[in-house]
Amino acid sequence: MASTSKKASMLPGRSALAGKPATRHANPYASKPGDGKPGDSKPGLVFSEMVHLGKLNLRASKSASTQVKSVVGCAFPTAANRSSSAGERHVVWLGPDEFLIICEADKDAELASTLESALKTQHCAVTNITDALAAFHLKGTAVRQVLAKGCAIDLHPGSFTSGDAAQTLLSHAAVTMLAVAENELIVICRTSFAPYLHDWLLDAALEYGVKFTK
Amino acid sequence: MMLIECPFCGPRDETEFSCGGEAHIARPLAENKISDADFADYLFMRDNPKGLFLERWRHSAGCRRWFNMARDTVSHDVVEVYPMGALPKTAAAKSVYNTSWRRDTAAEQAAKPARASQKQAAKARGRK
Amino acid sequence: MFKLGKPAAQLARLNRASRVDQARSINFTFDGNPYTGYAGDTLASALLANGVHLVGRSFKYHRPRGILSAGSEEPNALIRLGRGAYAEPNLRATQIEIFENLYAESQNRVPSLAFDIGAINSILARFFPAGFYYKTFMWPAAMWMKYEHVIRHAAGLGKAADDHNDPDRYEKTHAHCDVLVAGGGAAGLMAALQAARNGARVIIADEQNEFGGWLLAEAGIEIDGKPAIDWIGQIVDELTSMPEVTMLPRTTVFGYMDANYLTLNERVTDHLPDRPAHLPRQRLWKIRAKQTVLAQGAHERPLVFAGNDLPGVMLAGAVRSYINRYATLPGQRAIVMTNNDDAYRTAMALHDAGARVTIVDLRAKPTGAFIREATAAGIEILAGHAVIAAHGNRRVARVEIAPLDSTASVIDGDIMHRDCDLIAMSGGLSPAVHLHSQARGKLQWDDKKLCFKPSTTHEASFNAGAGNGTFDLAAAIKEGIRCGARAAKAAGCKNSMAATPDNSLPDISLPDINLPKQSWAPLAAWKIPNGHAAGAGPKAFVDFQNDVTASDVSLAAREGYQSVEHLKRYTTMGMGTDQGKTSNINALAILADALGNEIPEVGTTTFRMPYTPSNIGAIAGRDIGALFDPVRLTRMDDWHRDNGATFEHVGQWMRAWYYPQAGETMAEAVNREVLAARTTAGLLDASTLGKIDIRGPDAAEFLNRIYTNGWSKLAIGRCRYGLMLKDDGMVMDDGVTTRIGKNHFHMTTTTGGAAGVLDWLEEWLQTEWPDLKVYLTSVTEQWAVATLSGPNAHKILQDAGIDIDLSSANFPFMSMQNCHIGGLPARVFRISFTGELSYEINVAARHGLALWTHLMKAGAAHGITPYGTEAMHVLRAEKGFIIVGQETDGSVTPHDLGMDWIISKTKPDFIGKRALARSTMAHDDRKQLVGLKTSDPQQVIPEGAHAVIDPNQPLPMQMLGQVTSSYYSPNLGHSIAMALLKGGHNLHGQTVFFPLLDGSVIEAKVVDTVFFDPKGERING
Repeated sequence: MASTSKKASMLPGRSALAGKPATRHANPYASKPGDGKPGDSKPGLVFSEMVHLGKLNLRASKSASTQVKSVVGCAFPTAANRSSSAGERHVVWLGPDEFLIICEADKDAELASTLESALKTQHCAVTNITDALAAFHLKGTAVRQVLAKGCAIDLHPGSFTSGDAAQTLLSHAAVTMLAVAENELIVICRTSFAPYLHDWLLDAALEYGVKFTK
Repeated sequence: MMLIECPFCGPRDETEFSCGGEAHIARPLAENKISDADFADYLFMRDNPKGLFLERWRHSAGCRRWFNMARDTVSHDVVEVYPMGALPKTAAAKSVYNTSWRRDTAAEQAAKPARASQKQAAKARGRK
Repeated sequence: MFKLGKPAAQLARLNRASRVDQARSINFTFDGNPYTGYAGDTLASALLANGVHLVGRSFKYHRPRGILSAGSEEPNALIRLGRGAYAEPNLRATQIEIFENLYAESQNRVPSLAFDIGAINSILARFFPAGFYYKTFMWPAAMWMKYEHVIRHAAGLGKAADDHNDPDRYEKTHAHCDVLVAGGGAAGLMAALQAARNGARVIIADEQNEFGGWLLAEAGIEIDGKPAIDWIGQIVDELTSMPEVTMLPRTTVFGYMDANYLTLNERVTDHLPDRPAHLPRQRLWKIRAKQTVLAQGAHERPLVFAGNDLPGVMLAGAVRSYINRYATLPGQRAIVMTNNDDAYRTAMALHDAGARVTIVDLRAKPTGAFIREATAAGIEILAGHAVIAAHGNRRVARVEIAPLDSTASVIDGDIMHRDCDLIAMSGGLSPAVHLHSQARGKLQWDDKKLCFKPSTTHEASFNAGAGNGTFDLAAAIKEGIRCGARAAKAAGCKNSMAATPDNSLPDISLPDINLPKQSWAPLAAWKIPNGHAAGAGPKAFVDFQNDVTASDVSLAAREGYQSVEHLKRYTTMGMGTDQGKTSNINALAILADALGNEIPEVGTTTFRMPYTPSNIGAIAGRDIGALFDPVRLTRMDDWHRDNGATFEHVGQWMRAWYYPQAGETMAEAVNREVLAARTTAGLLDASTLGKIDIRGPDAAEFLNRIYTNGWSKLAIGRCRYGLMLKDDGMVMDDGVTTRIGKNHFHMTTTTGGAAGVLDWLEEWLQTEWPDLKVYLTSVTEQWAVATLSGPNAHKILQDAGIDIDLSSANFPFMSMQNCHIGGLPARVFRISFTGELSYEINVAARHGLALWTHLMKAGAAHGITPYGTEAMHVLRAEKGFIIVGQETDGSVTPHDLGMDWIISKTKPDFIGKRALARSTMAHDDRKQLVGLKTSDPQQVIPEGAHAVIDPNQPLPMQMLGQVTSSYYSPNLGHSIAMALLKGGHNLHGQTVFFPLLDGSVIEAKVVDTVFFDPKGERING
């Protein structure tokens, strides 16, 4: 059997939802899930998977902030449950010595190794968990109402504002949520929970109209 | 449902936390010889008071950090939340800590490094 | 379907302005008969408009019952609504809004309401005293099974839906606010408005379809010069226009839990004839409020007199509500019986609507504006009198009225008779303190108003209006405003538009109200005398729903049930779906009287949620069916599905169990897979194994403390098996950990233990050893893992294009290499859970399927066979490898497993070390792991079977222990098993027996746990 000479970086790999079984709706009486409310052309929730969005877990003390800024483009967020951003990159607070670094798809490996070199004199752990986590991009006028159905934290736009982040439960899935704008959030979960969350979001947003885009 | 103040994430629902039971139980080191009965104080004996109790909690669905909490088991009032390794500051919680029967146990004494093995332990940890 | 004839005329309908829209007719069916009502009607008001008073039979005596109230406190008019899967029992007709083609049935009657066989119980009533079931069915115990059948048949109110698959859609949601207002009457609305004006995020909920509370049931009250209804409308409009105010009509606040966490049930589409598919039928709200204002109003109490449960006997306030709100006159000839002023307004409403009215006032000398008004209207007032008995067949027809003495407890004069078709009774008001009490607020007894009302609160809450014992409208409005302002302030709200020093807007000024002064002090007359000795005479009901009479309460007291909680359980008083809303205070007062105590000394029973029954569907929400629990799939899952795998749940994971080919049984498939792994090659999806990245200068020392064996000397690139104990010395998890770099390890855990082990390691780092410099990161899902096992593994990897030398010299057993396979970067561990030459190939999860299909293709020529978890279990059992959680159960030490070799003797400490030295650990009779070989090689002992030395010993047998793993081994040609047996290590060579449930006995010999390749020669292929 001939081996393929294709470089791995050229292989696209599969998204978290690839091969997912057909959505098995909890309620067979729900009308046309995913098509939006009848007669409503503007669904309250439009969501998509952010395929291969780069994700690095960084465990380091605050002193690593300078190097993180120089490599990633943004420093550690200044407070717990906040994020800092530079373009498409975010550094999200996960704990007093733990951060999630979000970067462009397929830039994760490169960023991880640059960061690791920059931090090599420090006690730290840079771990590429791009494939371990799946990310959803959620947008729409009903996005916060939909999330409130499964999330106990206060998602009022005045309480969970742009740049705020939270690790919490969304129904039965542990998630990290990042508020991008009033009607726009990123929800990150473990990859194996992505099919569940996909189905959950479709069902929970039914009353506002919902559309999943590839 | 209780609302618990995570020292990092602020108030969150009880469902995001897990309770690690009684706080301030010092772990005897195996190299410090104590009797089985004294060791049982550490391994098996837990308080179950009606009233203020010092407990360990973890924000398991959030930042995954452990902390201590002084909670009234009757009213569910949280008197104090304080970091791991620290002692309570409020008078009520301090009193619970100081009057605990554990403070005088052999198990608690054995939680300190034994003089003879101190060097060895430090060496094993790779530190001065 | 049912044929609908011509609906009956609404003979009791009044032609007047009201909250029903007489231009919009609505057809509905009750007990098979067609009726019409109007938009705005409840089922109760529509039935009354059609002259229907008899709507149900009582629980115990099957007595005819009518509509008592006009709200959620209704104990009698319980209805089964809808048909088929949509049917729902025990709904209160007083709360059901009618809609086109509504279908309702009465309950608790066989065969019909008018003629009910169960009513024989009523004739036998003297044999059904309080505690009847307890007394009768106590003995003999052997008969209980028969009694139970009888009791179960008699128990229960309505009948659940015939089809148990609830077709409706339910939602639940979390919400947060500064101020939650429970109750949308005058006080609640004012609290909401004041709080919202002060900048608070407000949620206001009311169980009715409209806001306004009891003002909806009033006519003639003017506030600020306009009808009360218009004044309410103006407030509702302002609230609706405020963006931070959420108005929830048709929503019951039914539970109040710790830290101002409240649960609400919103009936979103219950009132619609066609429920839109995208909307839920009901929505459960879980609200965390900074402050609450409880303004749920009050319930009117019935009076306890003989025959007070007849249809046509109603609460006075309810009668007023049916007249004013629903334009329905419940009776033409009315007796208004009261111990207070308020019922006079009902008398006036009846009088104005054209009914003939007699007021029977228990008070000897009532005075005041209302009495003057009634007198001026020419209404007959019998002061110092009582209705001592009501009579009628299926509706009240006549009453006996008698004068009472000054204590209102003794008949003092001649009995007179009056015909009537309605009794409107009023025994005073009881504040609805349910939520306040659920929230552990304290109550105090008001001696004047004769009610319990809130005193101190436990949670961050305020009480306002009638629910606080403030029955006067002007005072209630004032209290609402004050509570709203205080709640907003306590919630930390500031209004930037205001100029006052504390940034709050000035309180709303009090409106002018045209109500005359009214006494809110009823006369204490808890039990109306009927001229018979105690316990004799006709029944006077306290709890209508549970058929508890005044004499039942007295009897229970005489029999020693003196605590109110005991009384409740003995008589079932207050235990129905209404939770005693109308009955509790009357029962307490009668109990207090029987005990010679004061009411506050007797106290109340504990108030528990829910305030009104809540639909379990709403509580479940979308956590049903496929969304009940997440199902986690590996990245190769669709290949397994496409290739016919059968799956098993492992925690939340779905793992391929075995891959049956056409016509194969499970045993045949598993045998084929097991054989292939030892003769050619097998491929297992091992992605679910827990994986933890461990980094830091103290990583090796950390592993030394976590595992029982030593880790300092492990070379980079080498792997080692480790066993983790809890601090009690019991095995907790196991796995292979590999040194990736000097300060970098890759740990694997069991599939089920993955999350728990990471938590366990973090716990020690954070709480006991914060000085250790170690960082942990879960990488379980970063890697997809395919385990290739079997003699042809080398050939397959070579054909798959692995770019490293696979010789044992270069890649020995228990080592790790980074390489490429078919161009995919991979981390390959040469470790084995089968005893064969074996590689665990890890690739980035996104390439999991690519790796799997690539290996399957490369292995096709070499007999590669995918195998599932069942074959994996057999393969490892053939080698005597344990599975944590199968061979262990939290009470098994390494020594018990025969694994002393893995315990370091030189480490000063590790988790569990001291516990292993406890004297009890050395006992010979601990359960220890052994292998078993059955005498009949084809016989497989059931897992969990218990072993005995002598199968013929008398019962109960002395049991040695249980089988933990048991399989047929196709490689050995006989069955194999492992068991934990007492003193097992000393039983080698002995025969033990397994007596089974069917009477058969399996015989087996105790052997070593390693059944296959005991010397481990196959590990190199």
